[in-house]
Amino acid sequence: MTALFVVAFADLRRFVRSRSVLVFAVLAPLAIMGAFAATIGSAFGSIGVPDLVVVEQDGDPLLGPLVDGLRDEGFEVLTVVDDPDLARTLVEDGTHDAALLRAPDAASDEIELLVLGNTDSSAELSVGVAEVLARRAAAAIATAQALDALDAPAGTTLPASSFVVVEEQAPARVLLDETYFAVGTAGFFLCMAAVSVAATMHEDRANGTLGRLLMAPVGRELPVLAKAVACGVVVALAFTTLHLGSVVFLGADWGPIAGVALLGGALVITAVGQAMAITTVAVSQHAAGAIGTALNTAWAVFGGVFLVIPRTGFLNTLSRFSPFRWLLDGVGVNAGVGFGAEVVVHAGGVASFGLVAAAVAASRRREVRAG
Amino acid sequence: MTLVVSRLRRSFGDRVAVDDLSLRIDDGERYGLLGPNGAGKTTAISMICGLLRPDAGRIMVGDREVTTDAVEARREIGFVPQEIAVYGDLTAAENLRLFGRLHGSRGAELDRRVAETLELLGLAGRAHDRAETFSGGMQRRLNIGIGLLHRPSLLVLDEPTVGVDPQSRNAILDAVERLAADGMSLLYTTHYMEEAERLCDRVGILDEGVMIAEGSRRELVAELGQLDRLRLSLDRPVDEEVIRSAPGVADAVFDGVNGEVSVDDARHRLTALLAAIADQGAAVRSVEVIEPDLEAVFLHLTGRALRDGGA
Repeated sequence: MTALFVVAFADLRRFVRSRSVLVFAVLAPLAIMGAFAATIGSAFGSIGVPDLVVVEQDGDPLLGPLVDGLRDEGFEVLTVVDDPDLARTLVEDGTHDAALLRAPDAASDEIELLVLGNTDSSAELSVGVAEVLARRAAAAIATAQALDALDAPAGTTLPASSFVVVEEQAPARVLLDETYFAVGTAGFFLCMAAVSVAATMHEDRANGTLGRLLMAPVGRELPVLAKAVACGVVVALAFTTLHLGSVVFLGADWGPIAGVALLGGALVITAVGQAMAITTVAVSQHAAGAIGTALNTAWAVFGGVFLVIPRTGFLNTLSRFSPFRWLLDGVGVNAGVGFGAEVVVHAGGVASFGLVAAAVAASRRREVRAG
Repeated sequence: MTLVVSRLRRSFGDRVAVDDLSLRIDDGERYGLLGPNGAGKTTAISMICGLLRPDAGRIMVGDREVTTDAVEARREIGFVPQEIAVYGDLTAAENLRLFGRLHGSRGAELDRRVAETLELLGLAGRAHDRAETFSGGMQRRLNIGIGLLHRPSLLVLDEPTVGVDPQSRNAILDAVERLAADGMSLLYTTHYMEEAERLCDRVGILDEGVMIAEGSRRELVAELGQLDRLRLSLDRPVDEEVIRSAPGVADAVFDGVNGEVSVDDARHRLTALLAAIADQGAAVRSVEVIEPDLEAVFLHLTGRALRDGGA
């Protein structure tokens, strides 16, 4: 075990000195995250923010503040009507993506806010965003109610004490722009960086240092395991840096830290696993780089890193074969709903790619000659 | 540490790189494995060091079988590969410490060995410089240092002076001689005859994967049947017949004051021959002893020069 860390530490020292890993794993993705947020992010916002209709009937003490709250959040594409049936029609005919209205059969001590989504698949993302916004506004209203209750004179009739958001049609676990691109970019670049780190195994083989390591009284697996450890440390540190960087500089919201840590750990497993599999399959450092670029670019495209994938149909199914889709959804749930079993499931989805890849790497054993 | 190699064989596809190779190196012995490029030297030592699995045969380092107990056998072996296998972005000391730790050295003992090795190889002044900033010769020396840091019982050097300037080459050979003098067994592959003759007690000549001759230099030359030659320059002519009658002399040909004498074991016969010349009133201005070398042995055995390669 000591030998493993001796070699891994030497590798890390070399990576720090070369600086290329620092550029590739941290500086480049941060710069691209910023570029996404500044350019494509705003375009994404116009796609993701729903064309929304809110039903505000006369005297409704809650939906009025909700409308105000949504507008305060910069939510401009908003239509206010007083007829629930009209709202449903506007959604059904595709004029609007979603409607927010009171549920008709709610219990007397609570208010149910119904998010009625358009069944058109192209609107599903918008509906999801609508629900996130509704939840956020609902939480703000509930807080205001609680504060009002503290100040209300005795005998005052207060509004219902709870505010429940009911979803219909659309999932509500969708990231908003800055975070979406931060998460996707981080996943993509860290997997690419992992390949570049692991592929130095071929450089070690070519310059003879790999053979030299194998001449030490250690197991034949040591160089590969040490490279995996070094790779994992690089990815974990870079992930932490990118998470903090995107939060501080771009305002991204990844959700509770426990979920971020779990998803980050899963990403490390997948980044290292695929990198080691590629390294052991490829015949040279150049080939490993090419395979890594092809695989991760495909994962990024089909997983929705660069373009948002519709939530139904073939592309939606295809995207499930990308760890980045699982990562994006996992962070979406973590940020939208909070840390829980669903985040764990998504982390498992991310890590499964790495575990399969690690099995491939483990099955590849090469004979190393001294020269 | 004794090395015993028995009937070693290794093929790559249809090409047999090493065929039925056997050799033995006794404790403290210096053994040279000679042959042109492509003769199978590197393949042979890769198997001896446990880096390459033989198709057949047995390798014992002391009482360890390399193919079945490679990890323990490698504790006894120091390996210096043909290429410069050092981490260029680590310093000389960091390279040595890394491989020292892998061989189990720690703390003060490791510090001492690193310092001693750097001193031995003349790199103490550059201990904290990155290896990539070194000249080729210095990198070669560091390459050797990594192999001997853990004080192996058997040091295996695979053509350690290839592409090295004469100064560094001499420093390397001096260092190897000092190590050998300390009792370390040595397996040295080269295609430079003069290195083998300087360093090795015995040599084996490998050609196309087959050991074609083995023994000390003198034994191999004796098998060749060639005599030593003395090239003489005198201050006055002498009678050739008198020279021919001197002990051990087979032939003598003179052209005036310059001549060449064929003699069995020139170094031992030289005194008597010079006395015979002095008896004729002549004085020797210069004398050169020319002994048959391993190059001649190889040429005799294979019909081509050792450095032709292409085997």
